[in-house]
Amino acid sequence: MRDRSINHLPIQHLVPRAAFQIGAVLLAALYVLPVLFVVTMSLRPAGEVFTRPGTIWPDTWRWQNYPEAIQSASFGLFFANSAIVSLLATGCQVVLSCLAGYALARISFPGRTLLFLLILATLIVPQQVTMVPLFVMLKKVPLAGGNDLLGDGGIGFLNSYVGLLIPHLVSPLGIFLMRQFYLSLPEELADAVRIDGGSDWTILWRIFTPLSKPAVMTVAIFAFQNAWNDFLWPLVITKSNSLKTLQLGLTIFYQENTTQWPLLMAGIIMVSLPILLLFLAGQRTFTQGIAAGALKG
Amino acid sequence: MSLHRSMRFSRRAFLGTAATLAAAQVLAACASAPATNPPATTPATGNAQPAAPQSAQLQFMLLGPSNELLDAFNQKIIPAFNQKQPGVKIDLQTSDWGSAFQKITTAAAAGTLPDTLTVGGIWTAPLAGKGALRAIDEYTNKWPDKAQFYEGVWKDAQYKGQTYCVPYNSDTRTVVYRSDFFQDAGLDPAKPPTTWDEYKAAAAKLVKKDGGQVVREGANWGIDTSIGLQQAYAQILFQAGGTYYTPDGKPNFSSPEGLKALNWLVSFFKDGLSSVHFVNQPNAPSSLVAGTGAMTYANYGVITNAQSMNKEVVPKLKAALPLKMDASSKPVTSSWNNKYGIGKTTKAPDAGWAWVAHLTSAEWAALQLSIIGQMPARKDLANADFMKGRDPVFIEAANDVVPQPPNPEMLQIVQIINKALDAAIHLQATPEQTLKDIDAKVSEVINV
Amino acid sequence: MSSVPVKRTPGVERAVPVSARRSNRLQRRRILTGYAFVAPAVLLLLLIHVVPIAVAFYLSFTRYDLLNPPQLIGMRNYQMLLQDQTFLASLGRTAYFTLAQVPLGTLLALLAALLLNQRIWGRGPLRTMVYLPQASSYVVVALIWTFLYQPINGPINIGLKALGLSPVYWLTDYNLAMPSLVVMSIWRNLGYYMLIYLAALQAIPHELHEAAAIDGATAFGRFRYITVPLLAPATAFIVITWAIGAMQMFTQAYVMTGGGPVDATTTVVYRIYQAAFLFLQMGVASAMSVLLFVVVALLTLVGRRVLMREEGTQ
Repeated sequence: MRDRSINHLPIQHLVPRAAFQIGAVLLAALYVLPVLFVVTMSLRPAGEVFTRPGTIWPDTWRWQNYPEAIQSASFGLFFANSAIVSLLATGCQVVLSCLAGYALARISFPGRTLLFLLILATLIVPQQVTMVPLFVMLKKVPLAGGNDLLGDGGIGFLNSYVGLLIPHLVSPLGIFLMRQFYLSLPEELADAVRIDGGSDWTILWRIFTPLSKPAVMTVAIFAFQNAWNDFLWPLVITKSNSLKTLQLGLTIFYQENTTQWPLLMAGIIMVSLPILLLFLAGQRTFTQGIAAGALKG
Repeated sequence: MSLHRSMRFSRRAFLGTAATLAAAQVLAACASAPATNPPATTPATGNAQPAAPQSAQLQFMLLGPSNELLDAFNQKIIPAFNQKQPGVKIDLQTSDWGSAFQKITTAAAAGTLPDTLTVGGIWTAPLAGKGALRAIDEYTNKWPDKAQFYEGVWKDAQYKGQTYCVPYNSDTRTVVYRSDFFQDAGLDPAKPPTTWDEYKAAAAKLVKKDGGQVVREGANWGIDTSIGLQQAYAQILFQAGGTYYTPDGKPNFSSPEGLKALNWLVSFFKDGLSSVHFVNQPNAPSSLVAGTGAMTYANYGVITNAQSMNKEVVPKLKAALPLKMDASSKPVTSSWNNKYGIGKTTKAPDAGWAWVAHLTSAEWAALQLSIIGQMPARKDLANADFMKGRDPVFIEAANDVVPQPPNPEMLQIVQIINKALDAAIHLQATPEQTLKDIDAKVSEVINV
Repeated sequence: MSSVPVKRTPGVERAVPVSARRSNRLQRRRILTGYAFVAPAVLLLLLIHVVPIAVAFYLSFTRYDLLNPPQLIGMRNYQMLLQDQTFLASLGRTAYFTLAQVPLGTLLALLAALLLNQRIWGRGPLRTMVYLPQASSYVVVALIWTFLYQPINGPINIGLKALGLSPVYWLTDYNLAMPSLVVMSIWRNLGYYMLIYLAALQAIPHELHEAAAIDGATAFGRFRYITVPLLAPATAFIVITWAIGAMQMFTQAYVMTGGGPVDATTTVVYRIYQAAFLFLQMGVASAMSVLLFVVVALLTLVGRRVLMREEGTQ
């Protein structure tokens, strides 16, 4: 299958190809320089970070920063915690977003618009004010974490994987995004299935979702990185070291008066790698375009 | 058909009921969190070192740990404690300083405050005033070590006549300067300024400009993204003889002394000796370490900062005793000291006290301070091993400490002051307006 | 025939030649399916978002310091806030931050997506570069940009100096601080919104362009009349969610400026954070959130109406 995304855009006739290339290089420069700065800082000796302002290349390259960062931040354990929470969150969010997004986009049911607005509305309230009620709620879950039937006596879901995971199980953003994509698909695609007696379930998973692979990938990447990069919620919900996530682990590098920049940067780079890998894996879906013939039902 | 309809309704009804129930639960919890906590157990007999408190699991929230500090706790401090108190198991929890207060208050809202915790500089009154900390006078009154603490530093752990925590460090501010910049400017590094006039005259010589722009401040005032400016002002306010409040508790910033202090501070910015553009970042080299300032008010942290960010600067940093307003007045400074305290909801206050006393004892406080690079709150540590090579001025300054007046709304008050001062040094408001503004806003806060 | 699909309002069934009774039953079944599809997500949303929001709404009528039970005080928090010049100013600054960021950012995201959808050299790595800031948390990005923006030792000003220009006080100049945060925020967010546009561009059926080209449409005409309208749902998503995100700007101000200089970057959510977790005034913080909610909801409704006109729904 040839790469179809490339030729179909008419805008390419407006501007010569060279201009695209120049624009792309400029765009890249805006991103390469700060990133290069982070990478080289992660390879400097501790004393060299601020003593030679304006230089990009380290005098001495210190690769040990990476193993040292791994050792000092209990990375293995924190990595496992982050991975468990982020993967479960991603799976759950993708499925729920597809289901709800499809219903909101393609099925006309009473209260649909209201529900959609409600979902949008939940995006507007900042976490700073919903965090405490949610926290108290999770502490009061009956029969969990040593609680009695009335939710007293124990700590409920505080300091547990469930507690860590709960706010990431569903995302209004993911639902909204899938709705927008399902909205843009032609109804003819569904008709064929329906005439054969297929249900909405079939249409959703067999036809629409495969066609929305880039959108699904976007929801998945975003779900993963939101859970992976979350700081505030794991901070308040965890007590034991054994439940901490990577983002909390990174704070070990900044203390009052001292920040171990090279180790911090090495840690940041390593913590970012899984998201980067996920993005690279998902990239393919953004270049394939829609499978040939899919629309010629 | 009717089945479907009823199902729909029941679903809706179910959702509504679930939401209502959950909301009611949370409200009840918000309302009852402190009430459901068991009342503090009867005061202990008051043994300074309770011989054998009940066996207990003791949660301890340690703020701002480095790996070295964690190792010290796990391998030395906790095992040593368990030798004395085999029945008490310490459950070590940690948080970084930046988000610590949020973590603690959220836990408090759900009634899950740790049994013992680090209490940051100005948290004593805000936490004690709202009933999150347990008063510990019953223990400290019989604690022989109490006499070892610097008086001003110990007072910082009190609120309304009661003691709530025990300080482990003294973060005392004093004059710090770059001796190499002094030499370059023709000043004698052995004769640092001692009065306001001398300080300003030195700043005028030390400031460096490039095309009209300040590239090195004569005096840096510790402006940061937090409340650094307020902390600097607190000292010059006290040096001028001013106070936060009148004896009957009204804000007193617009007093003649307060105005004198602010006029002096603002004059550095008006005269181009200091610049509003030099903002200290918590994770970056501080002004003197980066070479963008020649003198400042700082604690020993500036040395620690230099050691980790730019070692070459360390020998060039010199400290002098706190300033006095003029030759006839007394040197005055302030300190913001971290402490260990006991949560109000603890079920094991005796064990909690034993742990706090252990942490702040000479031996174990010394170990922590040697690792975190800070000055002791105890006089008997002034000559301890870890103090060798540290400039004694940083600890002598603790004798000149005037404590910050405790107020349960202190966290808000310092923000009000900091913000108003920021407007004053940006020359957006006159010193008179600024202080009136502070008085008005502070009285709103403390009267509510 | 190049079967150009005609867009129809989703959810409305094509008249299938079956009896009215059967169609009726099918319709009811579909409605149930709809509820079943949204139910799991809605239940979780209720627990995670709606109930806490309802509690926050209640708390906005109370005085609540987190440590003691909330006390009902009626409208006092609202009365106080609506007279509070600094709160109203922070609303204004939030709007400024949003208006400066979203239209420009959306346009740049579209341009970046169009550019990186072309057959150019190094396209894959380029997309990855632009996406890279998303891989780190906002706190980390803010930390790095604070360093880049430093007045004397920051790389940007060192670069300016090398070009013979005078230093710019990015974060400490009263008038520049907010624009500097806008620049940094667009830099951070561009990758994500570019990704959404890329995904949307992939979903445009190739056949549409072919058909239009056969009909003699110019390249610009096809861009304007095929690509842009078909990107409308994605654009609506981007503008709405970006705006909502921007209205909640906090981390940048918290890490980079502390809300200063003076008050120049104190946004509503920065004040909400301060009220809730520094001043222990959860009631006031909740009331601020309610007021922010009202403003954002109104703007969203207006924006949505405008944006969705082309989308062909509702």
